[in-house]
Amino acid sequence: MSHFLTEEQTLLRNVIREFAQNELPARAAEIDKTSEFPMDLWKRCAELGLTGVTIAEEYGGLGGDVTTEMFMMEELGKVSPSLGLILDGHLLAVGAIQYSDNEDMKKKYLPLAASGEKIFAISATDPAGASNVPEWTMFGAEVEDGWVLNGNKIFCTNSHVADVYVCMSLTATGLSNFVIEKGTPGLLTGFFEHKVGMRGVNSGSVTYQNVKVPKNHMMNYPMTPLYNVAILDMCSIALGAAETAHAKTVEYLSSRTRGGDPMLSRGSVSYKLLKVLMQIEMARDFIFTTVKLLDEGRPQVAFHGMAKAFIPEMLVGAITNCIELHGAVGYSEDTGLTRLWRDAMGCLIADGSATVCATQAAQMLGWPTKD
Amino acid sequence: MPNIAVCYKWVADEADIIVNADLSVNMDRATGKISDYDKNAIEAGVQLKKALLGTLYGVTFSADSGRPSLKDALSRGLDAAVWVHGTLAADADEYVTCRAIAAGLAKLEDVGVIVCGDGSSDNYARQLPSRLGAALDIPVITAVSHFAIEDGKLLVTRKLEDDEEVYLVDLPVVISVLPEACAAPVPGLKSVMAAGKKPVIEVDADAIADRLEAKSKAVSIKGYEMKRKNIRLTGESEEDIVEQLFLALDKEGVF
Repeated sequence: MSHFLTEEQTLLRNVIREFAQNELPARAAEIDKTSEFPMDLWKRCAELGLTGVTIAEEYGGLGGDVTTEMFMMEELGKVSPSLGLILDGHLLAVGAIQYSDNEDMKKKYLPLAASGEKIFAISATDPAGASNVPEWTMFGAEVEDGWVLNGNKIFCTNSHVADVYVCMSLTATGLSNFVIEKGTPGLLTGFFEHKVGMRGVNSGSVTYQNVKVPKNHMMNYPMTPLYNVAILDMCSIALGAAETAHAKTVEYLSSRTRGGDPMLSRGSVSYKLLKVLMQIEMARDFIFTTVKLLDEGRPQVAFHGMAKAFIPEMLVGAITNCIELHGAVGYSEDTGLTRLWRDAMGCLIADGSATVCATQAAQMLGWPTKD
Repeated sequence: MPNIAVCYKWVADEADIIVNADLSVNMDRATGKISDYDKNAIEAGVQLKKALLGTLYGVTFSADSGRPSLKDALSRGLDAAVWVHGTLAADADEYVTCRAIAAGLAKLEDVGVIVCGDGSSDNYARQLPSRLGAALDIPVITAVSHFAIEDGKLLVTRKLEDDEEVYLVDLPVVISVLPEACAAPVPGLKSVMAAGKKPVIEVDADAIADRLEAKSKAVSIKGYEMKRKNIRLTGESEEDIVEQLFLALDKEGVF
């Protein structure tokens, strides 16, 4: 969490932490074993208001700022990065509606999203590559009474449990988003990915075969930097996971002795662990400075990509060190570090790989790039 | 419709307390939180309100730094809060705390049930319910594991080490509830946002300080260290070693 939260933000953070620490640990391990979508936890998130954390109050949401979304993701990431990613997928789809200029869609869908009554998914990743937009096969053709969508999307978060899909598609005029409800003829869910980590998160393919979409379900692609916070969600989830790995390791090395003294008292061990902590603190400052600028209307969009390029990589390194410092115990599933390690690889890739995000950041900085 | 008052304490979060190498206790980085047992008490108040239909108040005594406790407690279902605060809280003992809470309760009318937690999660003195009962001259029921309102009276079960006792008691009454009496739910985020709009009655503790003087004072607070005994048991056979283990444990007073 940021060191500079307001009193209200601190209380919100405490409540989310209470939920995460009390109700998630046992379920997080189960979800990892079964890979089943945690509908019970989704309902709890809905009851508590997490599903509408950044949705405007006029549409039934909490009206929280981006900082609030980030410490929510951090607290969830400490225990269940999977649950964080599920909410990230939902909020990314919701953001496409909230930050569009389509008032019909806002009135119709945002209250359902805020209450958690409907699960939202964004189908953005094209088989040609999420960031390879010019080669996307997904296309929306305008017809007399609306639009017709054709194409495939892969790695759609919440793919098989969603009630409402936001489909990102090319049209004759550029990039647009379309809102399509489950059960619409031609909308098909297909392959279900079996992932290394982030289990329990539905990631799968969605096919659009001549899907007819009403005219008013087409939305302009949001141009606000607020729509670009999903990659920061992944950074906050990574921050939380790194904090847990570090805390577990400090606890273990404080009680594990060698020659009667705690392992933590050995300089080589404490230095290694302190370096992990330094990187965690750098990541914290990077995230919360970036979102504070965003909340204050002074966005530095290049920071988003830079944060995504840096922080999940930091997490992978941190957990690798923490597992190594645990020795064989760390390599056991029971310690919980290996799950975070597998989830860390998901943080590295979800919502844009480190390399892609770094390239985007370079573009934002005006550096010459071929992409 | 009798009202309900829940007493709660804002304590240092033990997770932030550091015991230094010389066993001195560093609380500089400790943030505040509602005492864990008092969260159960607040939920008990929420349940009682459903039966009694009165207003649910929280009453707390703290230094001025305890202000954040108000929104936290109000987000958990209280309708309003009474905050007794001032410098007096810094060195308050159980006697002072009781008098300060009683001063806060005096601001309320028609309180039927005063609910306390089983004990505070910092010093766990468990004195407030009995002292309040004595100060207000009303009955006290501690260790309550179950409660219900029946014909305007409170039916409570006390859970003791070896037995359970059931009492039917007239209102007003002070009770302290065990954590098992009702689990404390996590409040929703909207409740947190709405908490700031609920009324708070402030009572200046320093204004009543001339009537309050601590009867006891903490002389020192130190952590303790668990040290390994470094005893290695050896023997001719497993039976020998097991016997030595029993003897060693007996020597330590385990049996």
